[in-house]
Amino acid sequence: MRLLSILFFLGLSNCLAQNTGSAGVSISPPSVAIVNIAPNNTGLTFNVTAPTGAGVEATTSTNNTKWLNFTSAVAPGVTRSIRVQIIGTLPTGVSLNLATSTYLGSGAGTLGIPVSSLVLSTTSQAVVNGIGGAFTGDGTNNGYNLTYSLTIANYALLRSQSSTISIIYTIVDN
Amino acid sequence: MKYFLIICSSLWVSGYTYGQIKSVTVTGSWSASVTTTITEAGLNYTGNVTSASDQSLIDISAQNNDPYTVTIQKQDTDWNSNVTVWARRTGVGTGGTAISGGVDYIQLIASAQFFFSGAIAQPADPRVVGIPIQYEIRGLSVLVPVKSYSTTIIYTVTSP
Repeated sequence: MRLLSILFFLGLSNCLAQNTGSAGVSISPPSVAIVNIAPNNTGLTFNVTAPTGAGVEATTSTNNTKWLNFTSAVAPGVTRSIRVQIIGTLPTGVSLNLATSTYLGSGAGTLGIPVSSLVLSTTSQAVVNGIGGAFTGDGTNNGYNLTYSLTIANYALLRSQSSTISIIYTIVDN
Repeated sequence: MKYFLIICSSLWVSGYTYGQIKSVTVTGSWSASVTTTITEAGLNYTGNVTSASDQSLIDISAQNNDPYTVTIQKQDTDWNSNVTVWARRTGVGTGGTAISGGVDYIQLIASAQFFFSGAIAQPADPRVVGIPIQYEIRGLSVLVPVKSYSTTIIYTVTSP
Protein backbone atom coordinates (compact mmCIF):
# COMPACT_ATOMS: atom_id res chain seq x y z
CA MET A 1 0.00 0.00 0.00
CA ARG A 2 2.83 2.40 0.86
CA LEU A 3 4.54 1.51 -2.41
CA LEU A 4 1.39 2.30 -4.36
CA SER A 5 1.12 5.68 -2.66
CA ILE A 6 4.66 6.54 -3.67
CA LEU A 7 3.97 5.48 -7.21
CA PHE A 8 0.84 7.60 -7.20
CA PHE A 9 2.73 10.72 -6.18
CA LEU A 10 5.42 10.07 -8.74
CA GLY A 11 2.81 9.86 -11.43
CA LEU A 12 0.98 12.92 -10.17
CA SER A 13 4.14 15.00 -9.99
CA ASN A 14 4.90 14.17 -13.58
CA CYS A 15 1.40 15.03 -14.68
CA LEU A 16 1.79 18.39 -12.94
CA ALA A 17 5.16 19.20 -14.54
CA GLN A 18 5.42 22.78 -15.78
CA ASN A 19 4.31 22.54 -19.39
CA THR A 20 3.24 26.16 -19.74
CA GLY A 21 5.29 29.32 -19.80
CA SER A 22 4.28 32.90 -20.26
CA ALA A 23 5.49 36.34 -21.26
CA GLY A 24 3.83 39.65 -20.64
CA VAL A 25 3.04 42.18 -23.35
CA SER A 26 2.05 45.71 -22.50
CA ILE A 27 1.59 49.00 -24.27
CA SER A 28 0.65 52.52 -23.22
CA PRO A 29 -0.45 54.67 -26.15
CA PRO A 30 0.40 58.32 -25.54
CA SER A 31 -1.91 61.28 -25.38
CA VAL A 32 -2.04 63.17 -28.68
CA ALA A 33 -3.38 66.66 -29.33
CA ILE A 34 -2.54 68.33 -32.63
CA VAL A 35 -4.46 70.96 -34.54
CA ASN A 36 -3.69 72.88 -37.67
CA ILE A 37 -5.25 74.76 -40.55
CA ALA A 38 -5.42 73.22 -44.02
CA PRO A 39 -4.30 73.67 -46.66
CA ASN A 40 -1.82 76.08 -45.08
CA ASN A 41 -1.38 79.01 -42.77
CA THR A 42 -1.17 81.54 -45.56
CA GLY A 43 -2.86 84.75 -44.59
CA LEU A 44 -6.23 85.88 -45.86
CA THR A 45 -7.14 89.37 -46.94
CA PHE A 46 -10.51 90.92 -46.23
CA ASN A 47 -11.65 94.22 -47.64
CA VAL A 48 -14.43 96.64 -47.17
CA THR A 49 -15.17 97.87 -50.66
CA ALA A 50 -16.51 101.32 -51.09
CA PRO A 51 -19.95 101.48 -52.72
CA THR A 52 -20.21 102.85 -56.24
CA GLY A 53 -23.22 104.92 -55.52
CA ALA A 54 -24.15 107.33 -52.80
CA GLY A 55 -26.33 105.83 -50.11
CA VAL A 56 -25.42 102.25 -50.99
CA GLU A 57 -24.07 99.87 -48.39
CA ALA A 58 -20.39 99.02 -48.53
CA THR A 59 -19.56 95.45 -49.40
CA THR A 60 -17.40 93.12 -47.36
CA SER A 61 -15.61 89.88 -48.16
CA THR A 62 -15.87 86.26 -47.13
CA ASN A 63 -13.44 83.37 -47.30
CA ASN A 64 -14.12 79.66 -46.84
CA THR A 65 -10.89 78.12 -48.09
CA LYS A 66 -9.58 77.00 -44.71
CA TRP A 67 -10.24 73.73 -42.91
CA LEU A 68 -9.68 72.80 -39.32
CA ASN A 69 -7.78 69.50 -38.99
CA PHE A 70 -6.96 67.79 -35.73
CA THR A 71 -5.86 64.55 -34.14
CA SER A 72 -6.74 63.71 -30.57
CA ALA A 73 -6.06 60.70 -28.35
CA VAL A 74 -7.43 60.99 -24.85
CA ALA A 75 -7.62 59.07 -21.61
CA PRO A 76 -10.98 57.51 -20.73
CA GLY A 77 -13.49 60.15 -19.73
CA VAL A 78 -11.47 63.05 -21.08
CA THR A 79 -12.84 65.40 -23.73
CA ARG A 80 -11.23 68.30 -25.48
CA SER A 81 -12.21 71.52 -27.16
CA ILE A 82 -10.64 73.61 -29.86
CA ARG A 83 -10.66 77.26 -28.97
CA VAL A 84 -10.08 80.28 -31.16
CA GLN A 85 -9.00 83.82 -30.49
CA ILE A 86 -7.43 86.68 -32.37
CA ILE A 87 -4.18 88.37 -31.55
CA GLY A 88 -4.12 91.96 -32.66
CA THR A 89 -6.66 94.70 -33.22
CA LEU A 90 -9.19 94.83 -36.01
CA PRO A 91 -9.87 98.12 -37.76
CA THR A 92 -12.51 100.08 -35.98
CA GLY A 93 -16.09 99.54 -37.02
CA VAL A 94 -15.65 96.00 -38.35
CA SER A 95 -15.85 92.54 -36.88
CA LEU A 96 -14.63 89.20 -38.09
CA ASN A 97 -17.16 86.40 -37.88
CA LEU A 98 -16.46 82.67 -38.04
CA ALA A 99 -18.95 80.08 -39.21
CA THR A 100 -17.97 76.43 -38.71
CA SER A 101 -19.44 73.68 -40.83
CA THR A 102 -20.46 70.24 -39.72
CA TYR A 103 -17.73 67.64 -39.97
CA LEU A 104 -16.73 66.38 -43.39
CA GLY A 105 -13.96 64.03 -44.38
CA SER A 106 -12.20 60.70 -44.08
CA GLY A 107 -11.56 60.71 -40.35
CA ALA A 108 -13.18 58.81 -37.52
CA GLY A 109 -13.81 58.89 -33.82
CA THR A 110 -15.47 61.33 -31.49
CA LEU A 111 -15.09 64.39 -33.66
CA GLY A 112 -16.94 66.84 -31.46
CA ILE A 113 -19.68 69.35 -32.03
CA PRO A 114 -18.94 72.63 -33.79
CA VAL A 115 -20.12 76.02 -32.60
CA SER A 116 -21.84 77.23 -35.72
CA SER A 117 -21.17 80.95 -35.46
CA LEU A 118 -18.80 83.17 -33.51
CA VAL A 119 -17.67 86.75 -33.49
CA LEU A 120 -13.93 86.48 -33.06
CA SER A 121 -12.27 88.42 -30.29
CA THR A 122 -9.14 88.45 -28.23
CA THR A 123 -10.96 86.26 -25.73
CA SER A 124 -10.64 82.54 -26.36
CA GLN A 125 -13.89 80.88 -27.43
CA ALA A 126 -14.75 77.26 -28.14
CA VAL A 127 -15.17 76.48 -31.82
CA VAL A 128 -15.50 72.68 -31.44
CA ASN A 129 -16.55 70.97 -28.20
CA GLY A 130 -16.68 67.36 -27.06
CA ILE A 131 -13.70 66.01 -28.92
CA GLY A 132 -12.56 62.56 -27.84
CA GLY A 133 -10.27 60.12 -29.55
CA ALA A 134 -10.49 61.18 -33.18
CA PHE A 135 -8.72 62.22 -36.35
CA THR A 136 -10.30 64.40 -39.00
CA GLY A 137 -8.33 63.38 -42.02
CA ASP A 138 -5.62 65.62 -43.41
CA GLY A 139 -5.97 68.57 -45.76
CA THR A 140 -8.84 70.35 -47.38
CA ASN A 141 -12.24 68.72 -47.36
CA ASN A 142 -11.34 67.06 -44.07
CA GLY A 143 -12.46 68.35 -40.72
CA TYR A 144 -14.45 71.50 -40.22
CA ASN A 145 -14.71 74.09 -42.96
CA LEU A 146 -14.10 77.60 -41.64
CA THR A 147 -15.91 80.52 -43.19
CA TYR A 148 -14.61 83.95 -42.21
CA SER A 149 -16.74 86.98 -42.90
CA LEU A 150 -15.72 90.54 -42.35
CA THR A 151 -18.79 92.53 -41.39
CA ILE A 152 -19.40 96.16 -40.66
CA ALA A 153 -20.35 96.39 -37.03
CA ASN A 154 -20.59 100.15 -36.78
CA TYR A 155 -20.55 102.50 -39.77
CA ALA A 156 -19.90 105.43 -37.50
CA LEU A 157 -16.54 103.99 -36.54
CA LEU A 158 -15.36 103.03 -40.03
CA ARG A 159 -12.06 104.56 -41.02
CA SER A 160 -9.77 104.01 -43.95
CA GLN A 161 -7.18 101.85 -42.33
CA SER A 162 -5.75 98.35 -42.31
CA SER A 163 -4.45 95.99 -39.73
CA THR A 164 -2.99 92.51 -39.49
CA ILE A 165 -4.22 90.06 -36.93
CA SER A 166 -3.47 86.43 -36.16
CA ILE A 167 -6.16 83.84 -35.58
CA ILE A 168 -5.01 81.24 -33.09
CA TYR A 169 -6.56 77.79 -32.66
CA THR A 170 -5.69 75.76 -29.57
CA ILE A 171 -6.79 72.26 -28.62
CA VAL A 172 -7.27 71.94 -24.87
CA ASP A 173 -8.47 69.41 -22.31
CA ASN A 174 -11.81 70.23 -20.75
CA MET B 1 -9.92 1.29 -2.22
CA LYS B 2 -9.48 -0.95 -5.22
CA TYR B 3 -10.66 1.83 -7.55
CA PHE B 4 -8.33 4.29 -5.87
CA LEU B 5 -5.39 2.03 -6.54
CA ILE B 6 -6.42 1.59 -10.16
CA ILE B 7 -6.61 5.35 -10.63
CA CYS B 8 -3.22 5.81 -9.01
CA SER B 9 -1.67 3.22 -11.26
CA SER B 10 -3.22 4.77 -14.35
CA LEU B 11 -1.84 8.18 -13.52
CA TRP B 12 1.60 6.77 -13.01
CA VAL B 13 1.50 4.75 -16.21
CA SER B 14 0.34 7.75 -18.23
CA GLY B 15 3.20 9.77 -16.79
CA TYR B 16 6.00 7.40 -17.59
CA THR B 17 5.05 4.97 -20.29
CA TYR B 18 4.71 7.58 -23.01
CA GLY B 19 7.47 9.90 -21.80
CA GLN B 20 5.20 12.83 -22.56
CA ILE B 21 6.22 15.13 -19.77
CA LYS B 22 7.72 18.30 -21.23
CA SER B 23 8.50 21.58 -19.65
CA VAL B 24 8.71 25.02 -21.21
CA THR B 25 10.45 28.11 -19.94
CA VAL B 26 9.77 31.52 -21.48
CA THR B 27 11.99 34.52 -20.84
CA GLY B 28 11.52 38.04 -22.11
CA SER B 29 8.39 40.10 -21.73
CA TRP B 30 7.71 43.10 -23.93
CA SER B 31 6.79 46.59 -22.89
CA ALA B 32 5.97 48.03 -26.29
CA SER B 33 6.76 51.63 -27.12
CA VAL B 34 4.72 53.61 -29.60
CA THR B 35 7.60 54.89 -31.68
CA THR B 36 5.58 56.24 -34.56
CA THR B 37 4.62 59.84 -33.90
CA ILE B 38 1.83 61.70 -35.56
CA THR B 39 3.36 64.80 -37.05
CA GLU B 40 0.41 66.12 -39.01
CA ALA B 41 -2.96 67.06 -37.57
CA GLY B 42 -5.77 64.97 -38.99
CA LEU B 43 -3.77 61.78 -39.30
CA ASN B 44 -4.00 58.54 -37.39
CA TYR B 45 -1.22 56.15 -36.51
CA THR B 46 0.14 54.18 -39.41
CA GLY B 47 1.98 50.90 -39.24
CA ASN B 48 2.39 48.43 -36.45
CA VAL B 49 4.48 48.23 -33.31
CA THR B 50 7.00 45.43 -33.60
CA SER B 51 9.23 43.91 -30.95
CA ALA B 52 12.78 42.70 -31.29
CA SER B 53 13.06 39.51 -33.30
CA ASP B 54 14.09 37.62 -30.16
CA GLN B 55 11.83 39.39 -27.70
CA SER B 56 10.97 36.12 -25.99
CA LEU B 57 13.08 32.99 -25.88
CA ILE B 58 11.53 29.59 -25.35
CA ASP B 59 13.32 26.61 -23.82
CA ILE B 60 11.71 23.19 -24.01
CA SER B 61 12.92 20.10 -22.22
CA ALA B 62 11.74 16.54 -22.09
CA GLN B 63 12.61 13.28 -20.52
CA ASN B 64 13.44 11.76 -23.85
CA ASN B 65 13.47 12.77 -27.49
CA ASP B 66 9.78 12.72 -28.14
CA PRO B 67 8.35 15.27 -30.50
CA TYR B 68 6.51 18.21 -29.02
CA THR B 69 3.89 20.73 -30.02
CA VAL B 70 3.66 24.28 -28.73
CA THR B 71 0.37 26.12 -28.59
CA ILE B 72 -0.03 29.82 -27.95
CA GLN B 73 -2.81 31.96 -26.56
CA LYS B 74 -3.24 35.22 -24.73
CA GLN B 75 -4.93 36.01 -21.48
CA ASP B 76 -5.86 39.66 -21.17
CA THR B 77 -5.39 41.59 -17.98
CA ASP B 78 -6.63 44.81 -19.54
CA TRP B 79 -6.64 45.01 -23.30
CA ASN B 80 -8.54 46.83 -26.03
CA SER B 81 -10.40 44.62 -28.44
CA ASN B 82 -9.46 46.80 -31.42
CA VAL B 83 -5.79 46.19 -30.78
CA THR B 84 -4.43 42.80 -31.77
CA VAL B 85 -1.30 40.93 -30.77
CA TRP B 86 0.56 38.74 -33.22
CA ALA B 87 3.49 36.39 -32.74
CA ARG B 88 5.90 34.47 -34.91
CA ARG B 89 8.91 32.24 -34.50
CA THR B 90 12.04 33.82 -35.96
CA GLY B 91 14.51 31.00 -35.40
CA VAL B 92 14.99 27.42 -34.27
CA GLY B 93 17.09 27.80 -31.15
CA THR B 94 19.65 25.09 -30.43
CA GLY B 95 19.27 21.43 -29.62
CA GLY B 96 16.12 20.85 -31.62
CA THR B 97 15.25 19.24 -34.88
CA ALA B 98 12.36 19.08 -37.32
CA ILE B 99 10.94 22.34 -36.02
CA SER B 100 8.14 23.61 -38.20
CA GLY B 101 5.34 26.14 -38.12
CA GLY B 102 5.07 29.56 -36.58
CA VAL B 103 7.23 31.45 -39.04
CA ASP B 104 4.33 33.60 -40.17
CA TYR B 105 2.58 35.92 -37.75
CA ILE B 106 -0.54 34.52 -36.17
CA GLN B 107 -3.07 36.61 -34.33
CA LEU B 108 -3.28 35.60 -30.70
CA ILE B 109 -6.67 34.91 -29.20
CA ALA B 110 -7.95 33.68 -25.86
CA SER B 111 -8.01 30.05 -26.91
CA ALA B 112 -4.92 27.98 -27.62
CA GLN B 113 -3.78 27.68 -31.21
CA PHE B 114 -1.07 25.54 -32.73
CA PHE B 115 2.12 27.57 -32.94
CA PHE B 116 4.94 25.21 -33.89
CA SER B 117 6.20 21.69 -33.39
CA GLY B 118 9.52 19.91 -33.35
CA ALA B 119 11.61 17.32 -31.62
CA ILE B 120 14.57 17.24 -29.30
CA ALA B 121 17.80 16.38 -31.09
CA GLN B 122 20.14 15.55 -28.27
CA PRO B 123 19.52 12.32 -26.35
CA ALA B 124 22.16 13.23 -23.79
CA ASP B 125 20.67 16.63 -23.16
CA PRO B 126 17.04 16.40 -24.22
CA ARG B 127 16.13 20.04 -24.58
CA VAL B 128 15.96 22.79 -27.14
CA VAL B 129 16.84 26.26 -25.97
CA GLY B 130 16.44 29.80 -27.18
CA ILE B 131 13.68 29.53 -29.74
CA PRO B 132 13.22 33.23 -30.57
CA ILE B 133 9.77 34.81 -30.72
CA GLN B 134 8.81 38.18 -32.16
CA TYR B 135 5.60 40.05 -31.38
CA GLU B 136 3.65 42.68 -33.23
CA ILE B 137 0.83 44.93 -32.09
CA ARG B 138 -1.62 45.96 -34.79
CA GLY B 139 -4.64 48.19 -34.86
CA LEU B 140 -3.27 50.94 -32.67
CA SER B 141 -5.30 54.09 -33.24
CA VAL B 142 -5.92 57.44 -31.62
CA LEU B 143 -9.43 56.12 -31.08
CA VAL B 144 -8.03 53.70 -28.51
CA PRO B 145 -8.31 55.30 -25.07
CA VAL B 146 -5.03 56.45 -23.60
CA LYS B 147 -4.15 54.08 -20.76
CA SER B 148 -1.94 51.09 -20.05
CA TYR B 149 -2.90 47.78 -21.60
CA SER B 150 -1.43 44.42 -20.68
CA THR B 151 -1.88 40.83 -21.66
CA THR B 152 -0.08 37.57 -20.99
CA ILE B 153 1.10 35.29 -23.77
CA ILE B 154 0.83 31.67 -22.69
CA TYR B 155 2.84 28.91 -24.32
CA THR B 156 1.88 25.31 -23.69
CA VAL B 157 4.04 22.37 -24.73
CA THR B 158 2.54 18.94 -25.23
CA SER B 159 3.32 15.73 -26.99
CA PRO B 160 1.40 15.47 -30.23
